[in-house]
Amino acid sequence: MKKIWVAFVLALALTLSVVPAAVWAAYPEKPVEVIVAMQAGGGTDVAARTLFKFAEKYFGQSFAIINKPGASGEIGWTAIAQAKPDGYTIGFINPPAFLMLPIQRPACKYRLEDFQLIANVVMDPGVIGVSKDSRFKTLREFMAEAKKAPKSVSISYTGPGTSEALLLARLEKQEGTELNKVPFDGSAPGMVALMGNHVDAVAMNLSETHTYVQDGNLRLLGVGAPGRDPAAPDVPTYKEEGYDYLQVALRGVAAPKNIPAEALKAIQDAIGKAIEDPEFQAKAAELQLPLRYMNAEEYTKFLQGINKDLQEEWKTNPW
Amino acid sequence: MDFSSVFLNAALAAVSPANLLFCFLGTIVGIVIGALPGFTSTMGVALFIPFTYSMHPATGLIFLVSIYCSSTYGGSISAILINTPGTPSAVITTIDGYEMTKNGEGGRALAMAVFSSLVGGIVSALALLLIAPPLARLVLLFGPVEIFYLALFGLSVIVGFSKGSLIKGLISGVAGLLLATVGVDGISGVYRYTFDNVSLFEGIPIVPMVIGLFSTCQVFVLGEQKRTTIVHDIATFSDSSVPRMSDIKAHWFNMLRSSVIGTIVGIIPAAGMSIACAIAYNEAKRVSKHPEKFGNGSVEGVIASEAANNGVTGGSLVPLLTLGVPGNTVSAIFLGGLLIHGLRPGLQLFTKYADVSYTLLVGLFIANVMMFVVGLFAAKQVVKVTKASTDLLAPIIMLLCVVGSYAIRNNLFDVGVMLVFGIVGYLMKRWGYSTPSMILGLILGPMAEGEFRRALMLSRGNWSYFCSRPVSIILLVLIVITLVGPALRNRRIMSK
Repeated sequence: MKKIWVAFVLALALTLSVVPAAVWAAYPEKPVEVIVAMQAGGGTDVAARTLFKFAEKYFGQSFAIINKPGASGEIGWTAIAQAKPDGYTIGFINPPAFLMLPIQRPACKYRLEDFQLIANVVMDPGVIGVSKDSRFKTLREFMAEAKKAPKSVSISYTGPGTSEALLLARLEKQEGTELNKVPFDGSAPGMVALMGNHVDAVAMNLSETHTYVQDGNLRLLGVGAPGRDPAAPDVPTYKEEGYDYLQVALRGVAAPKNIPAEALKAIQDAIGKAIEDPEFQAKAAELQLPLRYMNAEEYTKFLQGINKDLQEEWKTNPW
Repeated sequence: MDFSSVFLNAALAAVSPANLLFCFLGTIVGIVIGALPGFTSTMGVALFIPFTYSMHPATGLIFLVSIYCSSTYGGSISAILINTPGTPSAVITTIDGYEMTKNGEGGRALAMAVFSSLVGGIVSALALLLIAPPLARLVLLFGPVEIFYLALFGLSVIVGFSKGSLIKGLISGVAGLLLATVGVDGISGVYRYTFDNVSLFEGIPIVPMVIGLFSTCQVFVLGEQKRTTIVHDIATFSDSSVPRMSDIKAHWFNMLRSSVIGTIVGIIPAAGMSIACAIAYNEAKRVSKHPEKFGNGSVEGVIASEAANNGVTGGSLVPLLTLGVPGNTVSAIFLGGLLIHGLRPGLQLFTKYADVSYTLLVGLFIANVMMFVVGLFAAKQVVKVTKASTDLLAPIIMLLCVVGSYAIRNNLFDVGVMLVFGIVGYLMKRWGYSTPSMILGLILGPMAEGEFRRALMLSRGNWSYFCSRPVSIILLVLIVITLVGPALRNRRIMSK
């Protein structure tokens, strides 16, 4: 008799474990963890916290931000890739750095293919700027001078392995010259070097330039967006200046691959609705976050394109 | 509206009950965060930024500023009482602070620490309020060459740190410099001594290392010692933690000088608190009537270090508010706090957003006074820790060590770093090597290296680039004085 009971309980347990969780409760039934691969309080962290605070409204559960900073994001992004694909762990990614790491470092433990992309949130074009009274009026002039003698013009940027490094490598290759590229820890010290006339130009992101441009400390020569950017309509694109390169810093949301379809849809929709929320848009404008929503499908296609481009570039002209 | 009425309105707004309440809360939060090893000012401000989302901008910013100021001071409490700097900026405070505690003068050390922090904070707040725009121009005088010299200047202080053997002090500093080479090189992108371990890509994490070298080491020391309290002789123990008039009278100039050093160093981006404390400590020792007491419980050492690190608080906000360039990591986080409330740093801050900005500046003064008052009350209570049984104290410190080193980036590797450096620190102490020198080497090493290499790139092989501007020449002279001065003085004393 006892044996039958045991068998019955076991059989019941087996049945229960096979039935998908959805039968018991619809996703999401508990808070979702969001891994942010950058330090708490930094630009990426503030962007993630603001976005997910609004997304909660449309999601029905809370999002818990967990910072896993270190190794330029590699620690956090690896953690996302290796998380259990149950829809309860997702993360924030920063392409193209996110895509460049696995290409430049073969030992990197994640690949783009390890992720299910969910949505893009921010698209922040790169810019090249000079001080207000600089002798350079256009990007073309700047590069022409660089062409006269290698390393004769200096530019501050945020160091090797970044999207700025890639852009500068491409500019150098196209003009067949070398710039005196001086890496700084972040764009703020690079900007100080420009203001103090220690360097001739600076490469940074458009969203960071607002104060400097407004106070007359910075003049932009070119922007890496696909077209003229509404935040700086007077600044020509790199393409207009004869350099056909896209340089944009993205911030988006991804999950480990093979998450349940309903989880993907629920998170994607919540983010999409948050981005439509006028209150969030106002907040994003204050935080200088240029919003650009892409859904999972568009985002995957977009990043795959960039990834292929980067892989080719690495073979011929490593940044 | 003219300036005086804007200012008056701001002052009235700053003392509104809600602002005072959040200033008080921020101060308590800050002191606790500062005093706990592993929880830095950066983390404190970052952690509470989301709390300010729904607050009025001025209230939110006063809250954050209170956390910033009081966590900077809070680091000294644990540094003085249990030899475990709560924040890396309090490392130099341990040198004399803990010696004072062992001699039964913990209360006096705490009192002077909070008073010096007040002076440092007020001096830097005054600088921010009155002369921020001209001071901001100072930022632009500091290019890679000058910041490199500043880092060298900070490193030269190692000579002044060493109690006993100078050689051992230098070895400790160089060991710190060598450890600083670990990690991805920011200039060339080369992976140096990382052994393909992602946790080492950004170098040996400084906070777990500080916790190891000081706090964990302290657990071992407490476990080993025969007496059951930190204070040598419980009979000499005095828990009076009210600043003494005689101390203030004797050391007011030291306080002012260290505050000004802190403020100036704070303004220079990328310099940071450690360098400010090191320079202020060194200057205090150089002109002191009793330089031999430094390292053996000199109140002057505590005053210099604490006035300087709180001097940095206001100083680091100068370039942030005027140019939009954060002066250090905390003010970089603070920038996020400003943006969230729709304030954009730069010239506009004092025109378009003048009401909030001046309320914030007045709030900075109030935050410092609040820190002083709360700090005095806290000191009276916490000083009793030194009478507590070490059987109880040691395990509690160990617990804080583990939590603190893990919490900084939620990484178990860092707990390992903490343990390893706990043992290293213990052995160093036993054999007479200097742990503060090692930390200074680790913190200033990457700065000196990075700036030197940037300067080399910009010099294009022309050595005159390194001494072509007045600031670089002044700094060079100061370095030479620091290095050669003590030797000359010793010779003079010997020849007498």
